[in-house]
Amino acid sequence: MTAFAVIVLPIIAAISAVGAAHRWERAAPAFGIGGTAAAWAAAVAVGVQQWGGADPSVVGDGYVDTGGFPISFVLRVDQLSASMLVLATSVALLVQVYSVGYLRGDPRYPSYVAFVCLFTSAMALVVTADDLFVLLVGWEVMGACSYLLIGHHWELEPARAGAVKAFVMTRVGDLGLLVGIFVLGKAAETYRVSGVIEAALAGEIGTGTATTACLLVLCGVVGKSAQFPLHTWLPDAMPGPTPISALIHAATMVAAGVFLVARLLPVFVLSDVALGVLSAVAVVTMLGASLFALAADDLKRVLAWSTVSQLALMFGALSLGTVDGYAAGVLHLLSHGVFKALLFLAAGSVIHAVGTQRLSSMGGLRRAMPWTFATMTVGFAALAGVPPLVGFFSKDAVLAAAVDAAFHGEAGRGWPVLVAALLTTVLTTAYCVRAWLMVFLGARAGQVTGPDAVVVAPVHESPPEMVGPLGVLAALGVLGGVAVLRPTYLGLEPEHLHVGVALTSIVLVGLSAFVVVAEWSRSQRCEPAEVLGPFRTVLAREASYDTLLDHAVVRPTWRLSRLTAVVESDVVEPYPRGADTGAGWASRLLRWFHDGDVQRYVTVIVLGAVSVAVVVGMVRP
Amino acid sequence: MTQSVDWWSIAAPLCALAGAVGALVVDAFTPRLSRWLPSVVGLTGLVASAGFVMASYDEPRAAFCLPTTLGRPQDCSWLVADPTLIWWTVVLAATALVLILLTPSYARGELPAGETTFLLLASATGALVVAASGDLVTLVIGMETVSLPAFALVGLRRRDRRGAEAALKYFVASVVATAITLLGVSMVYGATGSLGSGSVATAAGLETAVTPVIGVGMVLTIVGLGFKVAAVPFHAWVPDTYVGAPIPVAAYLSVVSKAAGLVGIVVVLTRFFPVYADTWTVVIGVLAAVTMTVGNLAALRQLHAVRLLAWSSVAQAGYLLVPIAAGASGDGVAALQSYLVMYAVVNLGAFAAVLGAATLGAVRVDDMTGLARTHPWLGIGLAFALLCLAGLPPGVVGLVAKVVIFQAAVDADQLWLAVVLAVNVAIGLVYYLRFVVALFMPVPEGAWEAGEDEPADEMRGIAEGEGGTVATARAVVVRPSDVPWTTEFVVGLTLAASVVLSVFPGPLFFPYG
Amino acid sequence: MIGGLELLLLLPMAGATAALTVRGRDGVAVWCGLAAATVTLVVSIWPWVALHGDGRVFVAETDVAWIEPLGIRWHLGLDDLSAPLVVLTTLLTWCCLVSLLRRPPDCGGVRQLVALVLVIEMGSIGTFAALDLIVFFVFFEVVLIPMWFVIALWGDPHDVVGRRRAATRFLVVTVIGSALVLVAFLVLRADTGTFDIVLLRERGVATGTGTVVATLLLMGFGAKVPMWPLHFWLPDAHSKAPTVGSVLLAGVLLKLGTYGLLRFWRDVVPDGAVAVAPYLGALGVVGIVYGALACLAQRDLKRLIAYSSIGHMGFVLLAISVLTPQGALAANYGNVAHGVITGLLFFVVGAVKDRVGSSDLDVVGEALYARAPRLGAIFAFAALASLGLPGLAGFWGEMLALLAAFDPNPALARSTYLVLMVIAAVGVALTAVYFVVAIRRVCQGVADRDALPDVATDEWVSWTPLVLATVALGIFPVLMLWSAVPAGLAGSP
Repeated sequence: MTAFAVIVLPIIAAISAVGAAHRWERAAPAFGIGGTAAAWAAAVAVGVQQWGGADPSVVGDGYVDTGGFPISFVLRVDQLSASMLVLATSVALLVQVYSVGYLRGDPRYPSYVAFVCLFTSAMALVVTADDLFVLLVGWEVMGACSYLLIGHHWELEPARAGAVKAFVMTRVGDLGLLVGIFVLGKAAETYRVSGVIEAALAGEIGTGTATTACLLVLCGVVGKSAQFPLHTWLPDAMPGPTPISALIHAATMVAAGVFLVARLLPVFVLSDVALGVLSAVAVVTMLGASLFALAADDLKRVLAWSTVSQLALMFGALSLGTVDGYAAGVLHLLSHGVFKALLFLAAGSVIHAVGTQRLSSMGGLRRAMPWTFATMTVGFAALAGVPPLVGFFSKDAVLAAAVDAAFHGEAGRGWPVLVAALLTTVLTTAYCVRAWLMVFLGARAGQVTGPDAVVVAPVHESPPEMVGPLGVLAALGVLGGVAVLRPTYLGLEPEHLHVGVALTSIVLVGLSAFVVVAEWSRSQRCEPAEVLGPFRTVLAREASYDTLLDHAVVRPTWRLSRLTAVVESDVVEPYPRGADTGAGWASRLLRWFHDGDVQRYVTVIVLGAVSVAVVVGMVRP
Repeated sequence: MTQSVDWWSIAAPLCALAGAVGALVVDAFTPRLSRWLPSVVGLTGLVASAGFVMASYDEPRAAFCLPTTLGRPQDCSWLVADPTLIWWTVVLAATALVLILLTPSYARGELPAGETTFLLLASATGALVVAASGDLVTLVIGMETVSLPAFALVGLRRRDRRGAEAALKYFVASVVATAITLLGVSMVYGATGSLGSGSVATAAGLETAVTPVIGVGMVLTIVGLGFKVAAVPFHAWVPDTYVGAPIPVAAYLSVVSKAAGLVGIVVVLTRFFPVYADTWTVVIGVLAAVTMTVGNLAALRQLHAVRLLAWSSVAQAGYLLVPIAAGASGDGVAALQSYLVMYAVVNLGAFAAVLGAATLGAVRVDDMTGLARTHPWLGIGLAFALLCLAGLPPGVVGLVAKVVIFQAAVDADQLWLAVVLAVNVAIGLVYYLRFVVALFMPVPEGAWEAGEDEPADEMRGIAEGEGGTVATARAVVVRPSDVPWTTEFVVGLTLAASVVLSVFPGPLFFPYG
Repeated sequence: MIGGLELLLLLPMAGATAALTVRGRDGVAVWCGLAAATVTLVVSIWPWVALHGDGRVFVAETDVAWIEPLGIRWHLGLDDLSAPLVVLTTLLTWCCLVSLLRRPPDCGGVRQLVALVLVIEMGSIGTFAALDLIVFFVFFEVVLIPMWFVIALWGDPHDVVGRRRAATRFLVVTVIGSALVLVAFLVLRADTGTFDIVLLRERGVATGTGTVVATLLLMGFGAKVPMWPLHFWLPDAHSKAPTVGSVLLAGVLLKLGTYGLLRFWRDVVPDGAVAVAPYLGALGVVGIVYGALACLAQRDLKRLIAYSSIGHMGFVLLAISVLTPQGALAANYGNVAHGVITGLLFFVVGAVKDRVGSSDLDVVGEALYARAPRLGAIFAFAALASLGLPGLAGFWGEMLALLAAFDPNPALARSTYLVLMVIAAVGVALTAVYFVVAIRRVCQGVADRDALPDVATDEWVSWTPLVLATVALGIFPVLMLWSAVPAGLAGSP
């Protein structure tokens, strides 16, 4: 029942926030925080219950007959979903608190709060729903909320474009997921998630069916988690308010994809093709994204690309199809949730202060904003995988799983993932250090001019309601390692540190950090990425993938629609119009004929009679 | 050779005829009462006739039969069965209404009371004869008895050039058609050596060298009847004649004369040439399709109310021919008669309302703008009648009547005809609706004064833009006297009838028995 | 005898008469109509409730002789297929009358308009309730003339000729269609000797005849739905019609066609249906994609929604064509969902049109969020609902349609339907595209024009039921799917 509360409470908060909007503007944050806090409490309650090793709790037994297999409105909370619940609600709560400072005086605060709350409960629905269609409902409601929130500043063109792009791209993927659900349901003869998994474990799902289903589900996952080839919406979603980015990237939207794969892993395991495709996608994405992150000049864009590559890392782990891989993927999902939320909120604090997102116009903020500096440093370090921070352990788990698979298991998937993961480690460190240097160290760049330059000088530390959450997350980032090493709450074996792997990654991190710092100092402490030379522009243009999409998909669609309009006006329309005018002319003709000339009338009579007579005379033998 | 005559079977026509003569006589002897007495006498005759009709249901009768010799089938010149009586009922009722519509014009001295009544009833008697005719001569005589008085009626209006012109055209065209019919009859006689239904039917049954002659004779015989029905291409006289004639006479032509033609066709085809069914179903089917299409298309752009009704009556003739094209089997005739009853009621209503409007000086559709607001009775009556003709609710009676027409076509497996019918119904809507909307539109400034002065009529006549007869019914447009109660009575009666039949359409289909 | 359904037919007529005849200001007349509509709405709910989980029974059945000689009987009754549509009709009518209360048409004649709306309601209820072919046909025709008047007299005040033409086009196409339907009915009668739907179901129809009938019904009802390529009358009719006209046209009249297909095409001549079903499905899918593409290129909001209706009806047609109970369920759900959502959309767009004087995108301008926040919000809500966002009514209709196409009747070629399903899915994506593009074009952007009056109280009153219905049907699909496969739909070939 508590799980149900996690879903409902935010909705109530949302409704009341909007309902009260025109009465007291100020009430909105209170509603948001209150509702989310209540949901968080409920989630924690559920978590404590599940972590204690209780059986999965099942809520509700309603079902709807569709003429085929029923759609059942049932929530099922096991350890994984409980952990996800806690993570999501915690981040949401922190975001709500943070927003009080970040969005102070924003006229659209009520709707903002409402959408964030809706977002939270949608994510809660995704992780707890035991029916694929109900899961889909949460899945797409989340998409709609992200669309609305990315478009929060709808008077700005980038926000509008980003919102549309995010919605359309994810929805295209979701259609695959929808059909995938059909296939799974038909194969397992139920739409219950638990039922599907049982069927998979019992081997009732054939390899072919599993392949089809998994590939279709992957469409949805790729869209939601912004993996190649549907990856470009995530960085374009950056014009949204920064807290939202934190919410989307850390704990909800994009995490849902990983969660779904983890949930359905038993089905994926049945099909090597599906896992192979998954690992390929993961490899391509994690490398490409981290390269793009290396060249981006927009702080949030850097973080966005890092999210994409980190998600790819999780998919890589999951694609190994082993228990370790599963554990590693899920653990990295959780730890990433913590440090990515931290990074985005910190970035928001920086942007809030500086008034721009351009790295090139930041720098030297460490004195002005000590708290932000400290916490964001923790975040970057965690992302780069510096011990003993949480990111280090989870990434270590991923690498270990890859090594294990490469040497003792699925070499075909293990090796690529391992290599890509190591390269990603290097690149991640590189862009983390680059961003860190360019934001906090060096000299403060002069005030930029231009559309996105809001003059806010002098720079000052953000208010406590923003710094507070940063502190909390930083603490989690530091101490979280324990949780990663002792994942009993997930019903998993305790992780032991894999020394070899750990040392390798530490060395790699050190080296790459050293190189970047060297380049930075060589480039008069402004832009280490210059070393990339011409390659840099290619990366900055993100390999022109959007241009490709534009030419391959967008423009043809528009042409087609214009063609349709032409068809409508020049091919379809003429028929009724022609019938109209035709009748008119016939009518005129008849009127002209009946001009009162009796001879003509008589002639017609005679002609008619004769012709009929002749015809009949001929026809009848 | 003398033979006993079954007087009962010919009582109905005799009463009608007596009414006709009586009207003439009373008009001659009591000129002072001439404004209403002849009509009363005529009505009495019709009522008496109708009484006989009612009394003689359920027992088929025959009269003027040849003695059956050397195995020839018996030929009777006079056959009266229940279907015949239904035709008679329709004819008598319609004639009575027309008579009522005509009466006010006696008072105004436009039409001579006695003559008009006499001619009307004589013509109606002809229609009765056609329905009962058992041999081709009787048929032809009946047809001519319908026609000749009708010419006179069309041209009877005093001091009206247009009426005379219309009458002349009607006459010329009719003569030609009759001539063709007579040619056909003679061919049939030449080929079969008989004019009686029985023997012609048997003779037609045998395949001989002259069979084609019989076939040709048959279709030529149909021509004259098609002329009465106003089937394309024998329809050309209709618009001019209707517009030129006094409106009640036009109503008479569009209902009674048409009915006479239809019954004539049914009689000829079913009593004389049943064996040629596969031929004439096709011929009539094509005629029907062409007729309804031409009628509807031509009506699309008519501005003159009577002209529009004239063309609509052509289109309706097309619908009426469909059941015959479907083989005129028992249900076919029933469908035809049911539709005819509906058509007679609403069409008379429409003409009556137009007559009323004409007395107020409105002769064109746009003259009648807002009629439903200024004269609700006329307006609503006319609108409802038009909707019934169009066959759309609220005119449910028209709709269900169309249903049986469709059913006849479908039951005869003539889907193509049904589809043509469907398209035509849709075309028909357009002009009926335009008329209806005009009636409900807000009244334009000074609309009802404009119609009164002669020059305006002239202008309108020219504006009509058609050579030949552009009658504007101006002769009926005397000073804006109020609409006569008789007209309103007919409108109200037909409206009431069609409304009641729209709610309970059952009675409409009494021909199904 | 007077059954509950006769009551449902008489109440609107009484309201119409009252609206026309009552003395006093026009407001009084509208109130009379509204009162009648309210009672009708309340009364119309009980059959639906009474049906809960019933077999393929008809509630509130009346069966008396009407036209004895032709064997036409006054046979009315509601089942799971028709009852929801009746409620939809009464609900939309109620909303329309509420909207007329404070905003009578500028050209006057509100009494007549109210009366016509009520007559349309009566005709639609009769059509849904009729269990005799001819009675169905009569009611099917009853709605035409009133709708013609509504479009031709109260339509777009700037384009008298255009609205007249649009109305006439609507009428002519529909009448040709319904005449074909009539022919089909008469063929059925000739084959089975009855006009009674229940008996027809029992007796069944010979396959040869069935194919003819199915084809005729397909064309006849297809013109009404409208099925591509018979859709050409719809955009004009919608863009010229007044708001209430558009709402009723999209919300109720289009449903007459899909209902007819479900009731007769699918249920009475299943064999013939099997023969032509793939064509129906294909045309429906073409309609989905075509409508979506046309929407992308639209410059006029009302036309845009009209084309989107073509798309949604395409889903319904696809669902009907799979000839399974699931498909029938999806179709019925799609009917109701589309009625509610598109009704709301037309209300909102009509409100915009009233405020800026046109529904042309350039005239409407940008940033509705800023110029009339609540109006913009409702528009966005309705648009999201219409593009099939889960949690709102539109989703289940489309999702179930796709699901049904994924698993069609065994008698049909599954591969064909898989292809159709995929194309339809592409259509879903396109639908999402044009609606978010429309939102971006209308609601978002820089507020460079003056503000508009925001949603007024009476508008709230008339829209709220639709908003609530949209959410309720989305969150509790059980509202529509409560009887284990609605029995009226169970008759699968």
